[in-house]
Amino acid sequence: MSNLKNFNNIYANLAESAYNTRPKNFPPFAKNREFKEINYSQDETYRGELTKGGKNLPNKGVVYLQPDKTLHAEPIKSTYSVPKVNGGYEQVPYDTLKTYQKGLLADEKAGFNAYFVTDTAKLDETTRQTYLTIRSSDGASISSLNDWVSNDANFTLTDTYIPQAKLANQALQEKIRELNAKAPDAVLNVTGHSLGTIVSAQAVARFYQEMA
Amino acid sequence: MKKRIKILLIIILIPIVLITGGLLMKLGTPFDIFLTKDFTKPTKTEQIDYLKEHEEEMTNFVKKQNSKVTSVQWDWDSLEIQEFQPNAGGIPTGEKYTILTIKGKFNKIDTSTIMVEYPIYKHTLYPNLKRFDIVDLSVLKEIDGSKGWVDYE
Repeated sequence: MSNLKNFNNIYANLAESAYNTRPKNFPPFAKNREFKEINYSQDETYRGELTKGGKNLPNKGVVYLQPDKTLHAEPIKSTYSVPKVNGGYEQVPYDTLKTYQKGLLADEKAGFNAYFVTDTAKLDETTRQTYLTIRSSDGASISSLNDWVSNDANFTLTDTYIPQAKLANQALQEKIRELNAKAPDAVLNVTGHSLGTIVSAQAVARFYQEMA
Repeated sequence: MKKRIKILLIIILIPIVLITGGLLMKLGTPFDIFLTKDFTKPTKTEQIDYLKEHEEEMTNFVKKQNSKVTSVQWDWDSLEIQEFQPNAGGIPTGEKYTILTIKGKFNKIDTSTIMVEYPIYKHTLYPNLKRFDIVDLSVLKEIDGSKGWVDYE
């Protein structure tokens, strides 16, 4: 998959930025506690490849990647079987001492990653455009297996509401609630690439279904 | 050898073997490290030591690529190694690759952050210090009452 040649389309830019090892990408800032300003009107050279700055972009190409303050290290729990006195087994939970990243916009175990972006540094009544960009299948082998087995295959072969879309739907609901409270004039745009598109479409469709 | 001596020897030897084996398992041997450590891969500490040895070279490369940077204060503990599998919608395409990232501050600015990304050499498993990308060069700034990171200009 090659990089975009230029940053002329804001939705394509945001979909690309959701990936790892891409120009002007978001994952390095995922654990930030403050916003990060990104300017798509400027050229970027990454791994020796040039992406030209975008033209005619909303807000002159400047967006603010907002932090996911709910992101934290969640302990991974497991269970072991203990035989019961009167036969059978009992599942006893224990901590594996390992953790994974979990928050409203990320679930490492489920292979779900999304980023919330705004056109103002602070989400308030001056905010007009906000974006939720959803990453497709992840690079890491375990999570890409997650993605492929539980999402792509499910979607291709059946009409299941895929696990990642449920998480995206929760994120969507929470962000809309936040917009209603803080930025009533803002619009929420949802974007993604590949599996990110499937996840977005299912999450939005479910949202409307639930609203009806 | 008489049968009685043979039996006696066996009776004496079995506990000796068992006790010696048990002690070796409990106390460990100098060779146990071969069971627990993968000598084909450098550890995080070894990677940090390697970078520390090349600190001047790393800083000079960064200064050469971006003239706004006059000094870098590396945060060695921020070193992270990540492996990626290129894929198209979940189907693996091409070989896996590994990158090393390290953060720090620059120009002795307290509220600054720099993040540099190095590809890892497949044969040595150490970073290629010449082919790198500065993925973040920001300073903390307040915009409309909200604090965040903006590109350093």
